[in-house]
Amino acid sequence: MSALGRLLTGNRVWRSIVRHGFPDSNRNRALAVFSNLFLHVHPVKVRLRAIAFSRTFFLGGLAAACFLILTITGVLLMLYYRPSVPEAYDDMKDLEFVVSSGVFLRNLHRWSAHAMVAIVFLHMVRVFFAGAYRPPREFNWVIGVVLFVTTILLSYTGYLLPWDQLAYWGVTVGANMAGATPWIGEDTRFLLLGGTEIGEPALLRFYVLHCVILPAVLVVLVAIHIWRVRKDGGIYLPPLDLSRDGGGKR
Amino acid sequence: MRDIQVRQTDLGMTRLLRIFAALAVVFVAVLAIAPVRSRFTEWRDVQERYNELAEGAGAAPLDLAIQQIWKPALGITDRCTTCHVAMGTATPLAGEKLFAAHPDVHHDPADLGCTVCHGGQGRATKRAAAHGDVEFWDDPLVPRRYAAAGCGGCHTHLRVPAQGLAARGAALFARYDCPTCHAVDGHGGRGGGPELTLAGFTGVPEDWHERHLRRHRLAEAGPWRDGYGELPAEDAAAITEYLRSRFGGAPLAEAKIAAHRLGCRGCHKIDGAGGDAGPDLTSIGRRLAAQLDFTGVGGERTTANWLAQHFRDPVRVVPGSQMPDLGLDDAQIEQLDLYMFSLRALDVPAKFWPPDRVRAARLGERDFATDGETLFGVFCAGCHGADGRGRQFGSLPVAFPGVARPGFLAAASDAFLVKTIEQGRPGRLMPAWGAMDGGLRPAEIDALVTWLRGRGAEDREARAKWSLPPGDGEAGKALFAERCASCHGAQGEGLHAPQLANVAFREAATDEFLAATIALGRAGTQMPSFAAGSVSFAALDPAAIADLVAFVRALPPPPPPPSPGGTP
Repeated sequence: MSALGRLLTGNRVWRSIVRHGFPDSNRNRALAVFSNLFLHVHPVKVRLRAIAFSRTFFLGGLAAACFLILTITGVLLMLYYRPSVPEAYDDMKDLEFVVSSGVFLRNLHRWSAHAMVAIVFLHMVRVFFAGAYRPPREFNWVIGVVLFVTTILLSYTGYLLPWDQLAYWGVTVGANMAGATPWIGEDTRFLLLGGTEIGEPALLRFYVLHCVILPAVLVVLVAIHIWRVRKDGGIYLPPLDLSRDGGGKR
Repeated sequence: MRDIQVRQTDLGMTRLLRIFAALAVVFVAVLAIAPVRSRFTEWRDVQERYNELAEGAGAAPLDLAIQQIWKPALGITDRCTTCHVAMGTATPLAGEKLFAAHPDVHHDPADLGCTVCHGGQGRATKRAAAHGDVEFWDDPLVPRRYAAAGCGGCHTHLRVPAQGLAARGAALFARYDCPTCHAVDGHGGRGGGPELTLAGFTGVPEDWHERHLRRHRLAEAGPWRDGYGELPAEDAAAITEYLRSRFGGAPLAEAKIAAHRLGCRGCHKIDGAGGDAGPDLTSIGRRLAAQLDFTGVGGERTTANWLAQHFRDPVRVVPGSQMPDLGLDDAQIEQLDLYMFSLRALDVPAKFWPPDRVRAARLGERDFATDGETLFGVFCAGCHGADGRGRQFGSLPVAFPGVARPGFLAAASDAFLVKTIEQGRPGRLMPAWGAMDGGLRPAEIDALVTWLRGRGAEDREARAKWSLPPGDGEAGKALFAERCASCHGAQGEGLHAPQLANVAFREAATDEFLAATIALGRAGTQMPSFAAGSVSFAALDPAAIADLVAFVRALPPPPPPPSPGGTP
């Protein structure tokens, strides 16, 4: 290790934050994962086969990355957005025309949202065809399905927020679909819109769902989802077919 | 085995690190695009050019920044002054149009902003978006040529005056030496009274004469003592009407007044008053070119061009349209275009409304004078002709009756006129004008009848001669087929002459009226006098006329008209 490295990592402040040595031994590599809040949901060791691109296409990680981007851009957008009528639409216009990099911010949020829905869907397809939903992972598959629905709901609730014609009619259709549920349809619709028609209460409801309730649900479920992957021994790998060439590859 | 694994890992890591490094560079480059794009904007170029010119002209340079006129009460955030800098805070510069000051229009842009009058997208800071030339912006700029139509955002309801009364008022205004004190359109005013050039906008109090008289009685000497006196009430009313017609030559006022002599509202509703034959025009001024069909329209694809060509030849632009070619000249079409653009149905907070809008929207007053002459121009002139002498259009089979012709008026009673106006001719182009239908009030219908009576008196004596004993409908049948069917149709369904089988017509017309009309004919139309006869046909005796009347009475109701757009 260089002298500069020693100076940086040898002092007391660094040691108080990072309690393990440089991860150049298996022990320190394991400690780096164990002692980190963000990394500890991840297995300490993964097989080379498991991190091959063609195994997972990194879809789970990409979905998580999208969510990270959405959280950051979403919080920044919240600084400029008022969930009321007609300010909501005016704020869209201000983001477009006067907020520095406002268009970039909005577009990044929008495209990441589209990407997340697509990626989560592809992630499910990949898991399904790999047979990774089989015991003992069946509960994690169920959580995954709930996560997919949550992602769709996040995308849908975000759709109303610009308060333009597209949003208004999109939500009209969606709310009427909810209203078509047998027995509880009308009540569901009322609950969703905070009234009988789309207006300021609906906007506020969708805003809180989009910015607080659904992201909180998503974060908790994602934590459980990843943690269970770790508990089940990392990502699912098919049994080795030792009869074939390359069977020794792990 | 172990060595191999380590080597593989190292190789893999190096490759991944390289990809990661490359992606990181791309990521930073992408991130850099946003601030760069924020820096290189159209408005910054404009303001930099202004500063260059300002340096030469000795004007103060601008701090490069987005400018805006912000009026929360009016609901506007107009950033137009970011480029049109001299209409905001900057000093106007000669030479460059963009840096000119706003023309004097009685309103300061700093008070009302820009979009209230001009339309467009005030929040935008890019040229195309600000001018509304983008998808999904439904309030495009009012074309520069019709900029005066922008006044229509608030002044839609400026009142169409009674022309005859106003003209009399103008003469009286001069005769009573009012211009000695009051300036109007740049004349007079030496005596120092308030200028009345814009009295039509600012409003004329009903009791101005009483107030003047009070001042006159209190005055000891001077112009109030010597220069004022009692006026006959009808003279005061005429002067009031004249003053209410003073709009300072505002193009919108002239266009609106001109449009209201063409009878547009006979077929088109504006703000709830008008016929149903054509589309409602209340917000026609906001019609987007994208919403219009340009199949039959040459030239540029703008709403202005579409409207102009449509006025020139309605059927070519809208195939199957019932709107006739009114034979308008270019100046009239220009004015109609301007008036159409002024109909913007703009949602302006009530506290910014001009007095005429308050009176129209809150107190239910008309935005046109309700004397018979004006009403005829507003609702009837389109079909019956400006002079009421009837019209025939090339594109429509029927001739519109000359309702102001003395012959017709001699035969028609007031009751017949009132009933005809109230109930119309269901199934024909004449709509019902009663309060429940076209929205004319009883007093207005009476005013129309009174005005019509001024064109020709009822001749009861002549009509009474044709009060005949009941005839025989069966006998009239053959006669009708011979004499009447070629114009009125075999079953009286009306080919190019009035529909005699029309239920409302037969309800309104008395036997006496029918008989007198058959006997005397209608001078100036194709309807001959059958009692007199001519070289081509023999005269009918009263008994034959009574038979015809009985046959008309017995006609079956006409079939309903084909629905517009043909049968499904």
